[in-house]
Amino acid sequence: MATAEAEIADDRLAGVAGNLTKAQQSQLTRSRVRAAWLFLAPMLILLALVAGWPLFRTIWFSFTDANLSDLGSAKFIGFENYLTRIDGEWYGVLADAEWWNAVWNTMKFSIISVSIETALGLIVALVLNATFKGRSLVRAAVLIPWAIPTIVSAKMWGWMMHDQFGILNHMLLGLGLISAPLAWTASPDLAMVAVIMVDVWKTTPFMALLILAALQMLPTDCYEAARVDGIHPVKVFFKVTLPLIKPALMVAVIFRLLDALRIFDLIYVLTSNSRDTMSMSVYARQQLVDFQAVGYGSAASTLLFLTVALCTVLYITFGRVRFEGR
Amino acid sequence: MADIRMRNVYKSFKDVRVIERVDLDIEEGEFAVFVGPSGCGKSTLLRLVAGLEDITSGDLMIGGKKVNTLPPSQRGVAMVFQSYALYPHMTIFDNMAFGLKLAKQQSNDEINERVRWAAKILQIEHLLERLPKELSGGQRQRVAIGRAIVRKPGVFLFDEPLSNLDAALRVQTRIEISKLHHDLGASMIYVTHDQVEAMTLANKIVLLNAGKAMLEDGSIAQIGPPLELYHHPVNLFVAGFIGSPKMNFLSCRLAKIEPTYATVTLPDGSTIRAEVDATSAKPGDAVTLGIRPEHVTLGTSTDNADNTIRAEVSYLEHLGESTFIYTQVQGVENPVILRQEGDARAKMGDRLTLGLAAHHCHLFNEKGRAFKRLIGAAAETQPIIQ
Repeated sequence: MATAEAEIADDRLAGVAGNLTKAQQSQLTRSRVRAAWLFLAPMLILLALVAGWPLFRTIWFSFTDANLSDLGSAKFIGFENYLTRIDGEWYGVLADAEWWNAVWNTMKFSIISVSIETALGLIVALVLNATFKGRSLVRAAVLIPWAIPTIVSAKMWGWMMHDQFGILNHMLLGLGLISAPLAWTASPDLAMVAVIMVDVWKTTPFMALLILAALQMLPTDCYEAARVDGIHPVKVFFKVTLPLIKPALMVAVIFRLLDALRIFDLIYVLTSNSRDTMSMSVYARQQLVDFQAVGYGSAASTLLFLTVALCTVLYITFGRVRFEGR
Repeated sequence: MADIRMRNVYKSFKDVRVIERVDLDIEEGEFAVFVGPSGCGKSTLLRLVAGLEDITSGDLMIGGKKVNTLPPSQRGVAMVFQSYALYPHMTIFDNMAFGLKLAKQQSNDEINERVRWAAKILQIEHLLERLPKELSGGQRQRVAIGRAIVRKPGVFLFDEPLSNLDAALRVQTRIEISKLHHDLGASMIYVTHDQVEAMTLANKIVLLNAGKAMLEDGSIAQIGPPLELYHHPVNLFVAGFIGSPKMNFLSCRLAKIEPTYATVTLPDGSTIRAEVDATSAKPGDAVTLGIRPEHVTLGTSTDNADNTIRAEVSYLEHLGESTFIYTQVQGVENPVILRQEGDARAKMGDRLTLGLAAHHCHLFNEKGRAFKRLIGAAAETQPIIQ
């Protein structure tokens, strides 16, 4: 990234300095490049400290038998944390059924919640894009769930879903939709539904906002041309609106997808270490903190990192997402 | 092909009045140009015809059918937008075929044939597989026109179609639109703020009032063939709007009124004779004398040695093929401009005698209304070929 920017600066400079002599030009270019690096340095150092170093440490620990109570005595053990064969039995994260359960949970959660959020977000954005009285008020109101910290909304929903005192059961009972209170966060069938429900409630506004921004960039004259041509609004949506907002939509989806793949706080607060909803992050935390196995937990974290990276690469390749726009 | 009739049409956005009292007939096959200063509502008037805006009151008939409440698609109109309004993600072919495909009234072969027919007329056949972003401005404009043509509408609506093109391309496309009108024979309404486009394209110019004049006199300042607006403007606004540089206006007083002419006295005391029927006014009335820069002559005018004023050159503009001489006349606020063929020899500070031929003079009353000129438009147009 940094080098790309320096290159762009270089290119621009070459254009500007077109009528200078070669010596002058190269001197000027050098000083401009130096200045560019100077400006980039604080950001690069900060990133290396807060992102690069922890990532490197985690990857390093994943190749050791480090323990939380005594990090200093960690020994290098190669790939044993990932996969190893002892006495004819497979051990390591990749051989752990719990890990694969967490992977499956995370994938299920990500795909379902992001799909619902995209569909709902699109509908909300289309509504907010229309002109009506009090639109700005509604726009602000829609954003509220997203503005609440996850820990707060998770606790709040945890109470609302409480099997005995929760308002959700109270309302459903009152309406006669259920005959007995449901254990939303404890029942194996409902736990994932509950988590997805809360996540959709919380992040749909974010999707709506990103899609709304794309909608507002659309050229209005195309729609007038379509009206004069007598094209049905539904057709206009699928043939004009959707293709035109697709690039922005794809970017919004990948933002959400990356977020969803590393989901931790919502699941941990709502359902703790329950096997039915355990995500990859929750699994890694459990190994690392509860079982004190820093090496093993780091291996899980590294795998999570690789999974997210792989998903991103696949999505960008097959979704043909272009971040730079047209 | 269809005619358009507007009866007592009004349009306002909430409390803002935009179009006032429009009565307008555009005949079948006619090329009407809506022209006027910015903010006069010319685009709004076009959008009323298109159905993109609703008429506040009054009637709009297209092809004898009242269309006030019909959606745009059922009015038999096609519109070309200023910004082209092409669908950026579709190829040129799809852009042109989009409306036809979704209407599902024709087979694919027929649609294909019609798009190619339109592309051939506009010479964009080689561009059909490209995307709009790969085209130049002029080519995009052709595609926009092509999209209108394929629908074979009764009425074409153009909303400032040339304003995003450069000067040379504008002239070329202007000629092509004129040719297109000749070939297709459909009615066309064309909105522009450029009076050259209005003069060259129109069979009928509709010049619109803006601001206070619109509220007082209605939206329409004058309707007529281009040369009628040029030679017989009904008021000061029309006289000043048509023609470039604009007509010279000199405040003066009526001295003598005869059935065949009137004489006015300028602030510097000189008297000018104008061939207008000012019998509705009386001597001593404050009036405005108007004469176009191209009609002011140097030295004494040929037909009337007395019709001259003294002036001092204040500024010169050399255009190569002609020269605009800005002069100061004693007691007249605005400079009096005259147009001379080729390189005029005058220089700043020169004292000149300007001839104002009586048959070229316009006279406007206190309210800015023109007195009828006693000379036909035909008499002033010199035939080119004999």
